[in-house]
Order: sequence, then C-alpha cells, then structure tokens
Amino acid sequence: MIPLKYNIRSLAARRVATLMSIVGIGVVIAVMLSMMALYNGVRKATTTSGSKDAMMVLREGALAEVSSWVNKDAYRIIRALPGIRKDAKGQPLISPEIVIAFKLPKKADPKGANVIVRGVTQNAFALRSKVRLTEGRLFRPDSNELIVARRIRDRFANAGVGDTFKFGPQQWSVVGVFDASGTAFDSEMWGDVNYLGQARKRNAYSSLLVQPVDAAAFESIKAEIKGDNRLKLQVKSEYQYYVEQTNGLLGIVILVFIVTAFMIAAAILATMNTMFNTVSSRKRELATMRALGYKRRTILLAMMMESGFVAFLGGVAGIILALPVNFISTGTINWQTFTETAFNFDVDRNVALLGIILAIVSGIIGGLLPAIGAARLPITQALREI
Amino acid sequence: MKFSKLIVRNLFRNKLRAVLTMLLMAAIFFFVATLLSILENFTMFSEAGAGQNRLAVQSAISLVNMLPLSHEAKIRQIPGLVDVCTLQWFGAYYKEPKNFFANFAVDHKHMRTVFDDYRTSDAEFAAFANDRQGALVGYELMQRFGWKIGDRITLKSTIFPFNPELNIRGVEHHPVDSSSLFFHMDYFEKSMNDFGLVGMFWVKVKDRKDMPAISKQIDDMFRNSEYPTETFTEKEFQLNFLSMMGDVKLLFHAVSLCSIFMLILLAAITMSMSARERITEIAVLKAIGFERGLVLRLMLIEFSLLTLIGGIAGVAGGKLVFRFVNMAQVTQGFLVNFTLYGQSMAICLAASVAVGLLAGGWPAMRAARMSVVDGLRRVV
Repeated sequence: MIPLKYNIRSLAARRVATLMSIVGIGVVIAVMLSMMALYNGVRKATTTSGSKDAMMVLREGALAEVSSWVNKDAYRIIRALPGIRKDAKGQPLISPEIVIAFKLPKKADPKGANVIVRGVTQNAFALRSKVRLTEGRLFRPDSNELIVARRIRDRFANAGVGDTFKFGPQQWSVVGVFDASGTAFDSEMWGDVNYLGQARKRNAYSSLLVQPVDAAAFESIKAEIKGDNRLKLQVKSEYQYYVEQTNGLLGIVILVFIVTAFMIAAAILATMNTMFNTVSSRKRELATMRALGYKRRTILLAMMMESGFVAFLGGVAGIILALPVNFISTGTINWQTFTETAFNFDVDRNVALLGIILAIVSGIIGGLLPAIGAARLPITQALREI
Repeated sequence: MKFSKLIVRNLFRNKLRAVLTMLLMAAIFFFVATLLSILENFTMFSEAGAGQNRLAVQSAISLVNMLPLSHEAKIRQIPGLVDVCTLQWFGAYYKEPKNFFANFAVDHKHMRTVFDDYRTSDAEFAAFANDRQGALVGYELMQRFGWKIGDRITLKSTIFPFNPELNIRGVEHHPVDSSSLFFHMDYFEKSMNDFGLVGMFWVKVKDRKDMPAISKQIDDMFRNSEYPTETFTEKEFQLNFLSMMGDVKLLFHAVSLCSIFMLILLAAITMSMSARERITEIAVLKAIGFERGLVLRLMLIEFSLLTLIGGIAGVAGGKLVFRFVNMAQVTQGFLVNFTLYGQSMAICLAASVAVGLLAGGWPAMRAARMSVVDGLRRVV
C-alpha cells in the first residue's frame, strides 16, 4: 500500500492547481449546501410547527386555514365532546381561531406582502408551547392589539412594538413581539379572536385546535366529528396539517432538487477533470512506481484516495463558504394561502454531513476513470514520456 | 483564417480532457440558462397584459379578502371605461391535489370585452355562454388532462365549499396564458348561496393615459368604506405575485454567478495544464518567427473556443431537453410554455467565452512570455 503521505505530498507539490480545485469544488458544494439549507429551513418550519397529538378541525375540502370556515355552533358541539383535556380551571383545551391575511408593506418592498393574522384565545398559548413572548406584552382581550413574530417585525416596515397600522377602517397597534422557534407561527401576527371576527365581520372561525386526553380520545373525537352530518368538518393532527402545507411551497422544493442534482453532476465532472489532469501530469512518476513493483490495484487505490481527499477538502471548503448563509432569514409565497412564509437558511449538522458525504462520493465517482487510466498505464511508454 | 487548423489540432490534442471540460461547461451552462429562463418566463407572464389597458381592483386588506359585488355598479359610473368584469380565483384541482391549475369564475357577459386577448371561436363562446355550467379551457390545459370539448368534469375546491361540475364548451387561446380554466360567475354565486362577494374587478380603460387617474378615482371612492380597494395596472398586479415569491431573482443570480466562478477556476486548471504541456512547442513557434502577440491570440482563441463549444452544447442540449420534457407537467403547472429563451441563451454564450478568456488568460500569457531559450531548454 502506498502511504497516504505520498498523496498529500503530491497535492502539496501542485499547490496552485490543488487549491483551485478545492475552491472550485468548494463553491459547488457551497451552492448545493445553501439549497439544502433552504429546504431544511422550509422543512423545519413545517414539521416542527404542529404537535402530533393535537387535532386540527377544518372545513371539509379546505387545504389551509385561510380558506376554512368552522361556524360557532360546530365549535359549541365539539367543545362539549368527551375526551378533551381540561385546563387548571376545568375548561376544555380547545382553541377556536380565525386566520385572515393582511397586506403589510415590507422593508425591502413597499408594495408589501400578505401576512397571516391569527385571532386566538388564551388557549392558543397553552396548546403551542413554542410561542414565547420576547418583548412588550400580550394583547388585551377584546382589543385592537396585536403581537407580532420577530421575523415579521424584522422583514416588514412599521411592525415593531408601539407601531400602528390600518386595515380597512380599523386601526391596529403592536404591543408585543414573539418568537416561535422556527415554526410556521414565525410568519404570523396574533390578536384577539373575538375582536378580529367583529372587525372583519366574520361570524365563523377558521379552525379549531383540540387537545385530546390521549390517543384513544383522539380517535373517538375524530370519529364523532366525522360521524356528525351537521358539521361537514375534517380532522387531522396538527402535525399532518403543517406537513401538508409544504405543498404550497412546491416552487422552492423543485428549485432545491434541480440545483442539487446539477451541483452533484458538476462536482463529479469537476473532480474527474482535475484528476485526469493530475494523472496525466505525472505519468512518469506513476510508471516509475509500477516499475518499482507497486501493483495496479495499489495505484488505483492511491489515485482514488487522492481524488476522495481533494473532494473532501472541497467539501470542507464548501461548508466554510456556506456558513455565512446560515440564519439568513428569507420568505416566499405559499401558493395555497397566498401569504408569505418566512424561514431561515439552516445549515445544521445533518446538512453539513450530507454535503461532505456527497462531496466524497462524487470525488470517488469522478476519480474512478482517471484512476483506472493511471493503473493501466503502459509502463515503458509512460517512462519515456516527458 | 490560416491558423484555424493549428487551433483545432491544439484544441483536441488531449481529446479526453477537451471533452470533459466541454461536458462540465455544458452541464453548468444548461443549468444557468434554465435558471435565467425561469426568471424570463416569470417576466413574460407579468408582461402578458401589456398594452391591454387593464386595471385590477382588489381588496386593500389583502389578496385573499373579497369585495362586495355592489362595487361594480359604482365603478361603472366612472367615465372613460370600456367595461368592467368580475373575476374570482377559485383555487380548485382536478381529481388530485397535484393536478392544480389556475381556475376562475368570470362574468361571461363582460369577459370578451375586458379580456379580448383571450381568443375563442364565436360558436364555442356562444355554447359556453348558454350553459350555466359551461367552461372555457386553455389549450395547454386541455392537452395536459386529455380533455375534449363536451367532457364533463368535476373540480375539487380547496377554498369554497362546493365542487363545480362543468361542461367543457370551448378552447381558449392566449399567447402566454394557455392553461387557465374559466367558468360562470352566476354558477359560483348561486352555489355560494348568493353570497355577494367577489375577489376582483378587472377594469378596461379606453385611453391608457387615464389609467393612473382612474385607478386613483376607484381607490378614493372606497377608501372609507368597509371594503377599501387597491387598484393596480395589470403589470403591477403580476409583479406583485413575483415579489411575493421573495428574493428568487437574487437567489438565481447568486447561484448562477457561483456556478460560473467555479467554472473559471476549474477551466483555469485545465488550461494551465494544457499550456504547460506545450512550452517547448511554443518556443519552437517563436523561434521560427511567430510573434508573442500572435501566440497569445492563438491560445486565447483556442481556450475560448473550448468553453464556447461547451456553452453551445449546454444551451442547445437544454433547448432540446425542454422540447421533449413538458415542464408544465414536471412542475405541476408552475412553469407553463417553458423553453430556453433567446436572452438567457445569449447571456450564457457570452459568459462561456468570458470563462475561456478569464481562465485561459494567465496561462496563455505566461506561455507566450517565456523566452525562447528557456522554453527550449525546459524539460516539462
């Protein structure tokens, strides 16, 4: 076996070329990683938003809360069902919510984008432990006060504590900022459900969130709601609802897959190119090694290792290049709700690991042909080569 | 040019290396051309209604809020209008959620005057107008689902609580938007129990100079009502959608630039290899009287030819791929009528030449500058 030192030394001997291939592969990996980070951010925003044991009640056929209606009679019927967990005061943990979109001007774009405004009661906070107030105070019941997600405050103009804005004839004022640790609620504003309903002349809720006592109660409540012909409602777990919301973000997902596929192809071709160059510039050296008695297999392995190593370094460079995009917050339209969904580029350990693995794999695939070429060199001819 | 043979021979002196470099160029330029074309496709959509003198009136509160039908009569009182047409985004799909496409309820009585760039034969339009459950379908959408005139289809609604059952009565043709479906506003209102609200009013204006004034007049009229409006020109309206997609443009441009930067680095490795290999040869050329400038020019032409061929292969390959791959199907209606567009292809070809010059510049210069004696003595 040829010691790894040989590979490292020969890379060092071709410093400039090696560095260029590392940076070149690094850029490929960095682009790929940023795309994965984007996807990761979208996925995190959707899969961490909902709890698996809370039940979401929507109108039959509605794909999103914005387009769902649950009237107040249905709320009263469901509230009275057995199997719903009770709070400290003995009241059932059920959160009737109204979800409406408001258009707000963005800092970067005065024309603005639609933001979800969620009308809630106290129960909403009990059911969504990830929502924490970080600044200001909660809205008072039956008031025109709103609390705003930190990411919305950062991206939209005029949305900080103390700011006011008008939607139609009503004035709204921001009294607090909350953080929802990367969930979908980070793209929302929350206010009082009754006031929002009156202000927008809606006498139906958009959705109900119900906390059953256990899994058996989940099933029995679900069966009860489905079996009631008056209701015409659908039930799914809150988790499932948010996972399905990813469909509205299809554009981003398609983009991520196209870019990743191309970048993998580019990484393979790039290492292949680099390795062919390295091999052809040291034919004599390789032939000498063969003449000294190293087997073909050994040379093949050494070349593959070298290729894998360069790609590995490229992967590391890619991670370093991709790190600055981490935590950049961006937003895109959810085509199901026409509202803006905010998420972060999220370069976490898994994304980084996947980047390194894909880099090494494409390095090995790309190195295969050049390595075979190196192992098959006709010794006498290669020794004569200048 | 008398040196063309020399250039071509040098270009393919190492066939494998040349082909690999071209392949890498082709892959990346195919990719960059696709990204740029997607942006161009969006812009085309936003400019589809240019010159149509149309204004879109929607709720100032947000796109998903609705306006009362009674606004229509008030808007009609404004002088200088051709016609007003109500339009409701319906957001339904066919059979399965993945078969999503644009579908609207539209006021058929005013559709042809306001949306006169959508063409349907008179006979088909009459059949559509006479059937309250009739539908007009874009020809690309007809192809996508294999529909024929006379078919009865049921759409699954995601926003409104009824599933329209429609008879396809006509095919609609439009230069850009050929995958939308339209059905009767009456049918929508009846099925919604006369709920009296609609998403948008489209206003066609006689003279385009009046558009800003009329748009302001409409918004002023409803400013203090329960349902304030916001009026856009058609282009602004479409651009709003684009801006709602976020910084897609920035993202695509950043990805394209990174890819091209990577190409420059990798091409530079190949080219310095190729230049180093022929130092002796170049010294000989210079010894027999080739000038330094000529040697430099020959090498630069060769290098940029190498990358240009790669670029052409990528762009032409892409054009071919998108002829056979129906992007409307792949992206579930997200990209309609997609192909690589002239502007994106031109940018890519120009960039491919630039990559050759940038990557090859330094190696070529170094090779051309080396003194004859050094070059001849040098053992590579």
